[in-house]
Amino acid sequence: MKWLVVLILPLAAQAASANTHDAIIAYSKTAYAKYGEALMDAQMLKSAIDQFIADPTEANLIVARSAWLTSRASYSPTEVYRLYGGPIDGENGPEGALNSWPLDEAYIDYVDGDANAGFIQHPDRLPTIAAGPLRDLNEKDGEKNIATGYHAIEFMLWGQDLYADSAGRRPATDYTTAPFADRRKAYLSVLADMIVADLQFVTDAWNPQNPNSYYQTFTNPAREQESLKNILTGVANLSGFELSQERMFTPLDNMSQEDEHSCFSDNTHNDFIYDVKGMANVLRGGIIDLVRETDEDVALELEEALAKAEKAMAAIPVPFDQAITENSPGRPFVMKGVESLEALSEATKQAAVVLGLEIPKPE
Amino acid sequence: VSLKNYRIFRRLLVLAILLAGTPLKAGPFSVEDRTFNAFGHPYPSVTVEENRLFHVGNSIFRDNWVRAPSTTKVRDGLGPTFNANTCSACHELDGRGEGAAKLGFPSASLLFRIENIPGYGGQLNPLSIDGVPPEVVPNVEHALVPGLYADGTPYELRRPIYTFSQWLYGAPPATSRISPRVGQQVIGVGLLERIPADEIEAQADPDDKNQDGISGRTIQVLNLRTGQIQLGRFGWKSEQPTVEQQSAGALVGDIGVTNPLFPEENCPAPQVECQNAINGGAPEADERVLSRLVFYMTHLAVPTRRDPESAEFLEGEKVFQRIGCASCHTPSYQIDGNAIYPYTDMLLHDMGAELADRDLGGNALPTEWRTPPLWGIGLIHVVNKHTNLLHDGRARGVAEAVLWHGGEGERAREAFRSLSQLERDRLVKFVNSL
Repeated sequence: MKWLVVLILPLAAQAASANTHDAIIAYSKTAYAKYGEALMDAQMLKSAIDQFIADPTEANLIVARSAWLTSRASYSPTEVYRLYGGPIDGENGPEGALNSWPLDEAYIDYVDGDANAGFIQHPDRLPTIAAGPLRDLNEKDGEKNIATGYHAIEFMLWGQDLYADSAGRRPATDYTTAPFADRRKAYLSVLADMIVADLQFVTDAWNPQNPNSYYQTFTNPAREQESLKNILTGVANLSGFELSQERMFTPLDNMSQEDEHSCFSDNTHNDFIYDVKGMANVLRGGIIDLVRETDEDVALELEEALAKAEKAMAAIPVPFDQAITENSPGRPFVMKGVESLEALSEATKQAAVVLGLEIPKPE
Repeated sequence: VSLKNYRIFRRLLVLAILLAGTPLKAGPFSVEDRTFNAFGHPYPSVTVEENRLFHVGNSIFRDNWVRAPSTTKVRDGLGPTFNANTCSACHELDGRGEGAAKLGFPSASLLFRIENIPGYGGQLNPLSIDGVPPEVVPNVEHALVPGLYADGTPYELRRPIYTFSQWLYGAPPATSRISPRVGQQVIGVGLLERIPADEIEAQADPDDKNQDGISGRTIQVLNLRTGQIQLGRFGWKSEQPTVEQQSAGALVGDIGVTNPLFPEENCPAPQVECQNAINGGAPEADERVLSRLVFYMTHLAVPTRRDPESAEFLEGEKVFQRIGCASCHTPSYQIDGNAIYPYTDMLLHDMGAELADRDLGGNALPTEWRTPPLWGIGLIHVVNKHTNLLHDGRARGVAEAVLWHGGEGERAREAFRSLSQLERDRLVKFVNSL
């Protein structure tokens, strides 16, 4: 009987509609949960920053840094929900404000070689440090003055990484005795408020309880093929483009120490690991099973490619900024990472073909 | 039928369906994407290794330059004065800027080349890094110019009016000339670079010996890389010989990023703050960065023509030929044995007094403009959410662009004005499908 159904409906993706729907529901609920975790950790980061601002000691700075690292580890797995115009990076999505890179350091505060730089130290350039003016600056027409989001907080907590053997070493005195300490406090506080607000926006969009949320649109059975395509697009383009090309091969080719996303904290390797964790959440959360129903071989290839990528990410030497420099023994490991992610992207596209979908390339 | 056999059968079927839906006419240089990303693809023929270099270049094209000094050394050196801090600000998604559409302070995609204004260099930079004052404040207004088609249908052209205030180093003398320029879509420039020079020169007819009213000509410009004089191909007035030189010129002129071809910051005397600003290295974009950017530019694919076998396309093509558009918009060339369809002769033509302005880079006359390629223009509204054409974006779509034609283009323009509504629509539709 099953045999007959299979013959009548050559595109098995259509035959497996109930399972497709289940997979989309599982994906959407996981998205909600993962953004919820990122939001919670951002709120914890906000508390740690509040505590540091109230009492700017070295100890409290270390606590705030640790909270940032935790918040990054829960934000990175949500990156798999990018790259198809969903809540995070659709029309009004906050991705640019949350995660833009490269940060314009000298636009913000003092830097090595220009002790007087930045709007922190020039109140005339930004009289009021508040979310509105900062959002306006972040993506002004013709100018993208990247001055908000995780990497801005990272810069304010660590400072520039000028060292081979450590991350940045911004002293707590920047927030006490140094000139413009109050403006630094105000800026850091607003930055934390902004990521909390932005993550709240995205979390709300994926809330299954909210009758008007994106979740409802995304899980609408009438939109099944489109949603499935979006899911696979996120994985294929995060692995094949954003991670492997933009964030790994490009710095490898540029051979410039700080051409890495979490450059101040030396945490870039964890961005890779947790981004791939996000892809694993999606693929093992129902997509591989769905593919297996129609093609065991392709499902197996996808599982293997994912496992290889996980292994390759874990093998990238820490810190990443030393692994990419010229003649570094770490370079082959980074290259392996590039190749493993390219392979994962190809396996995902192959899975899309099996499901009768075509994946658009990223910008 | 075993399950395994069924799987192979189904995979073949999926493949067959995909192939059937993808006419095999894209060739090695073109893509079928019709979405917002239609201009952003590498040639389908690139290897895995080339694809990686393409993405490095994409990162340089798309991501912002930051102020020096920065720990992100590869990407610092913005300004001191500039028009935008990325390539993609003016060529968003590798597409076209909106130009003079925005009233007041213009969009980043619109810049002004200048002549005979001491103290400002070759181009106005209304933006600057902190501590360095911007040169001037430009302003855009519109005047509407009414007209009539031969059948009595009215139309209205939009003529931008540019005014400037707060000239920091003195107002321009009467002999000065200010020329607006918009960022064009950058698709297929690697193919235009490969059209053999003799094929372009063979189309030139500077004295109009064949008396068709069209007298396109070439100009020779200096190749800074080789020191040789060669055919000008790029820029609105063919002022640059290569994609590399065009890109390197934009890096320094528009973003303020020095590079091997243009090692000097654009800080003419008396711009002291500009001269004293910290730079991002000498040069700020080194040979490798420039080469990756150029690799990216020269491997950007073009969208295929939409449905060139359809009756609609063929009807439109007839009108295009009949009224003389193809006299300058040469449809096709061969590259490596593959047809490409840029619809340009790559020659300079007199386009009349209405559009005339000046460009310091080459030696084209004020009335002369290089025939712009037409490929992809029907997708600009998808990629960039506007339909603005011509050198400053004054034309709101293909019909207005035709109506602005003067000089050698006057005959074709008048022929267009005399067409019936049906044939005008056919022509516009045809051009938008290229």
